[in-house]
Amino acid sequence: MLNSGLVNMSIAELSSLLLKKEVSAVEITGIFLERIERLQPQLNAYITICRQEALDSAKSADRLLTRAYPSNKPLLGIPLALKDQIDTRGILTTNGSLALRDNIPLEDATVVTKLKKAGAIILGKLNMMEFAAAGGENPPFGQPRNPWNTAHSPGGSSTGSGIAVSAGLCTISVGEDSGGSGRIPASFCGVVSIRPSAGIISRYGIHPLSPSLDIASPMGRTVADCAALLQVIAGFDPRDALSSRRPVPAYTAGLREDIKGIRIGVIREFMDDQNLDPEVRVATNNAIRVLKELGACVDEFSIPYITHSMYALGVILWCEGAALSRKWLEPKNSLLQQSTRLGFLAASLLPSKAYLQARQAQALIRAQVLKAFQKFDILVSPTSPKLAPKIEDTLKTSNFPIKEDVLKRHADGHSGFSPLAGCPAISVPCGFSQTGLPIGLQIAGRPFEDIAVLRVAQAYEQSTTWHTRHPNL
Amino acid sequence: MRELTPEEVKALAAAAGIQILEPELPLLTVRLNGMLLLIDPLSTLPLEDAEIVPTLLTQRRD
Repeated sequence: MLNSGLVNMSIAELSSLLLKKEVSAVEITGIFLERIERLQPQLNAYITICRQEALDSAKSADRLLTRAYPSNKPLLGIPLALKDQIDTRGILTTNGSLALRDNIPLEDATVVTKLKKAGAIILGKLNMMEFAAAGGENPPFGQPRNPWNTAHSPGGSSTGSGIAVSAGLCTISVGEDSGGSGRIPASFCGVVSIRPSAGIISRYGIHPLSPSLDIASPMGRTVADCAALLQVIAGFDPRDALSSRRPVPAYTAGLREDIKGIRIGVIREFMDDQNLDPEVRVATNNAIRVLKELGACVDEFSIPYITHSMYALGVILWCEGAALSRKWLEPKNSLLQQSTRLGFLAASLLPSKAYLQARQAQALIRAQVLKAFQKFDILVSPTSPKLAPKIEDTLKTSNFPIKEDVLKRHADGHSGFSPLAGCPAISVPCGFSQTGLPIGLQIAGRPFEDIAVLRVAQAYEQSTTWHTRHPNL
Repeated sequence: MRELTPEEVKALAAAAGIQILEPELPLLTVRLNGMLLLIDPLSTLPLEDAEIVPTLLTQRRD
């Protein structure tokens, strides 16, 4: 039972087994490491597997577990993996690029320090889109594949995080989400990911793509696991100038309340989208019905500027990323993939007016979104209007060869408004296509009301069985 | 917005001090014209009414 079941267990289930001494942290870690090595050629979820470091941490966890269970170590013995955008002291951190193929950080990112303190076992560093910006042909660390159908994309840029959590190659993962980079792979891979309110997780030691939008994103197979992970890594950090000083609320405790009477707005523009996949539409409508049955007051609501979110976000991300990546663009230095290099080069040539207009658009979109939150506690939509595309199709458009693709690709995006408005948004599984590809529901809330988002997601998840399905690997 | 030609992109890059490789020029031109396309829809918004403020600071009561 243990070998097959352990890899899909929640934090609470694993902690319970550890506490009862039914399994050791070393045994758990060994099972995950064996599975990672077996599935790595098929899925390419990892860039670096930290076998020895993980086993050493597991031995330390087992020593602690021989005494009373330490209450200050909520992730003791829990195997997790990190997007390779996050600095780990003494462990290769590539940011998904050959340009950083020799980069061994001297210091842990703040989130890593917190995870280690909480007793987590770091299994390794996960594959990702290069510089969290672009996917293209011949990914430098192998082609990542969707565990539900390896011909399909797992989404990105936290590609390996989505794969690893879905495939039982770790229990939880820390990804990063500047414009959907956590929620989209979560949606495509059938797992949960929250982009928290801006400022509540330190960005220190996370390689920046777009400093005004970047934030770490907890990922797990359940909402409760994401909440538990968020609980550990949230909090003020003086080393991050944008870090919030607000006290960290009890995210996990907030999950227990029901959602009767909560006001939920369905974003009309995203449901009326002509490009919305019919199966995604059906799954989303079914999810809305479940939320109503749970006692939520649900109504449609129009946020006209929201359809411009991905245009504004695209310009901001690429301009900020290009400015930060200038040194890697020199031909003599460039080990970047062509699609990343061309994206940053093109953004370097945009007129400053473009960035200014994108930031102005952000202000307008944010104002409309915050106005919607005067009427509603929560906004819902599909996380992505599309199912996970075939990998070969994503490669065809990686350099935007067709003009129509540019506008359509950006108009399709549903994940852009929350970073622009600084509000929390989570993706939870809400169904599967007939071909077996997962579908995600996006639930967004007011800035700093992450608990409300988690609570609605938890209530929905516990009323359905989507989270209990796992890919057959 | 009018599409830029490869020659114009090359001149822009030279003026900005950005070194580009000749074989990259056609794809870079496509990519830059693609990014410029993103600005067109933004121009339809009433941007003159929008004041740019930091996302985070306006939401924090720290």
